[in-house]
Amino acid sequence: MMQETLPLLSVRGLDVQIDETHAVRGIDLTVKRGQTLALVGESGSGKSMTALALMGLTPPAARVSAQELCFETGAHPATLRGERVAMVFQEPMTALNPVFTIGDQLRAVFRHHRGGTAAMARARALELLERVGVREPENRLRHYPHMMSGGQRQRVLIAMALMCSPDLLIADEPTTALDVTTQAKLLDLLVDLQRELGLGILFITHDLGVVAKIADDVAVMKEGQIVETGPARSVLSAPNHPYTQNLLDSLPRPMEPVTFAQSGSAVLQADSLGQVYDVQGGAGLFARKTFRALSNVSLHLEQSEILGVVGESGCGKSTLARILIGLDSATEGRVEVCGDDASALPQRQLARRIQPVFQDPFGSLNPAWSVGRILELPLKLHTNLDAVARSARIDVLIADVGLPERVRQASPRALSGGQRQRVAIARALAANPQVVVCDEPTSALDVSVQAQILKLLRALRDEKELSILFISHDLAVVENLCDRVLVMDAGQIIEEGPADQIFATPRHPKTRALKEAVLEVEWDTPVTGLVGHLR
Amino acid sequence: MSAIDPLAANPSGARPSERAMRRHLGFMIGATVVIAFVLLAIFAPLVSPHDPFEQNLLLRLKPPFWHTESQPGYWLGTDQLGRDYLSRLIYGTRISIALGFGAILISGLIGITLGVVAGYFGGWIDTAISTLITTRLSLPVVLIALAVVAIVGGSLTVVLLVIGLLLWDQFAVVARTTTLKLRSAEYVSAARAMGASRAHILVQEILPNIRAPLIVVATVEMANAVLIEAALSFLGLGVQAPLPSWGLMLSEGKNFMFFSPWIITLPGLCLFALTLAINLMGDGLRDVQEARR
Repeated sequence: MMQETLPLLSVRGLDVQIDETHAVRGIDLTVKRGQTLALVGESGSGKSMTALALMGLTPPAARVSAQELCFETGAHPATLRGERVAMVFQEPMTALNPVFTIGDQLRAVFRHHRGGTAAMARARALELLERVGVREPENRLRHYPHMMSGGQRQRVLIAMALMCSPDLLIADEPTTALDVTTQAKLLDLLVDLQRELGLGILFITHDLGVVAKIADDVAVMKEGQIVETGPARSVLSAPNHPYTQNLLDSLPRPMEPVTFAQSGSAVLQADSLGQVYDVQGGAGLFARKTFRALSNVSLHLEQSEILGVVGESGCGKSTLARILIGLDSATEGRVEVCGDDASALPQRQLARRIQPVFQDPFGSLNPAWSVGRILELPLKLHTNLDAVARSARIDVLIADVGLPERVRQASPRALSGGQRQRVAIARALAANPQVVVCDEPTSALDVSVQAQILKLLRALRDEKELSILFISHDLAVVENLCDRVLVMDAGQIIEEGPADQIFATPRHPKTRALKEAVLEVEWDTPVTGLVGHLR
Repeated sequence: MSAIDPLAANPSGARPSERAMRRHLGFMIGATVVIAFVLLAIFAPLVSPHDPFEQNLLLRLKPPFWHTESQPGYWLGTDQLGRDYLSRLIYGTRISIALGFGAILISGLIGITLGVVAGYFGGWIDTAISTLITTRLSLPVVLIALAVVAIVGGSLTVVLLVIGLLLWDQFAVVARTTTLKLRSAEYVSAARAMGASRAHILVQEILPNIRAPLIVVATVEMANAVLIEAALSFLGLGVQAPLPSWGLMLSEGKNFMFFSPWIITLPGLCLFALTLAINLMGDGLRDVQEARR
């Protein structure tokens, strides 16, 4: 089926400079009709800037130059924007205009480029909404973006991109903001659409699992340059460049299992926790609706055990974390920490036993203080060390989490995401707690940094006999790290067991869906036969 | 790991906003003028050529140096009582600057405390404080100030207290909304989970991070305070003679404006320059903050 014709998009020597930073340094790309080129790289590698440059959407300060940047017809792709070249953005929450209905926005695209009557535009919108799998498209046309879920909105964006039957689709991390199960469905949709319409797709992602699933070719980008390019299979199975190898090595893989002997005594125990919130709404002036975020959640965590809690966003994982660390109190049930009722302990006592590590390393450290001062607070609160002893302890903490000593004087602003997360871990460990509750600690980080943080957590557990409750939406990460796993859905625990067992033989359909959504790059296939597979 | 070391690129973690401020023309002009006025106010006895209170009726209403009839040694002429006008203007700076800073100290303390408490605790506390803010917003400042000064009697202290107790509304509004936003920040949750006291969270975790918008409010309110003082003094209800306040000088000179126009233009220009400079500074700070977002 593949004919060797002119490539749909050819780029040579694309260069983007913003102020003094050289974001993209002379890269070459070729996208063929009916094929997917994946542009892979970690944050800051210049991949999004490349997409924006192709679409002519770079910020005003950017200077773009290229030896060759042309569409099949010889025109600059930016002049065909919206018509033959379309783009799908990362953030479905902000890519749609909140004050217009879905129907208005879809019709506007069509009529801007194609003209025609409102009825024609509407018919096309309906056809595409149905094609991308939006349920009840008739009704949806009248809906505003906020009335739809992230996955539905992303489908609408894809439909919008397809309104004028483009030849080339540029997708910038279109599934990153979505749940894993939603991501899997959307990728299937893109593959189908491509086959059906003969689209060329430039797919930008940081996720090698996604690459393995959908890409024909792959270009690996680092610091504005393409370090390796070629057919996806051969690049993923036999990478030439050490950076690609490093990316592949960073993918979560089960570490050598540590035989964890259950002792039966729990350091953290929760009995039938429930949480009910009052929410506004309902009919009538004083009507109140309640929302049940947790029901009947029980768990126990033993010394130096890592317990994983997995579930999609909105399943109640974070609510559970906030209750366990004492930030919220549960409306039902009780929490015991080291044998004492947590609700009876003052927060400061509780804090000596259980500490959190939050998801967003850019939000969890006070930007007004230096790292040293951030780490000093727990020491001041929980120990009676004098200033000299505190200072020595801060040095130890910084070394324990593998940071250079000079970080101490730095502001968190000056640190990378991974370094910040290490500081957050050091802060959690400062008071020598028995339990650390990690709420998605790696989901905001690049894969190579994620691998380092996971390794650090594992090492800390081994050294300090720390118990860790690890919350994540990513089954692969949990499988990699945890001894035992709880799977949550809609505020309830639906499955529980040793990690290897849950992953080998998931029983609950929701667990199976989560597992199937994990995009793997398969490991033990021979070098030539590596395939990315979904199920 | 071959990743770029972010510490190497920016070793001190110095904020880019400081550089941006130095590049902002309006901010630099405003800041220079304000600093010049502050220095004049501090060193008034050293820089003024004459005693601002010393009268010499033989030298009444002498014009400034560019007139042929000007009196040597009296650069900006003299007023209707023969006092050196330049010295009076320099001493007038003291009143305006002291009042500007004093008023925002008082109003800032009241407004920020109320705003942070309302924003952090929420619930009925927020409702109560918001009602207080709305009540204050519905009162006309100049009218209330006039009424109070008319009852209690005018003096620098009274004017300072009245203005300070009236201008806290903007501080409260801004502090409340910014605190509301930070209340759920993860570093605040982290401090709470660590068992830090409420006072620690409000003062150490939240306050330093809402500083920037509050400084902008402070500049606007400072200019406002300077103008209100001038207005009250002009109406005879503010600073009392013989103290050299710019507003009072305008008021005293208004009868002579047809034959000696400098007598009202000069203090007017000073007021204009100081408030413009403060506002330029505030606009610059706001621009830099917005660019950072």
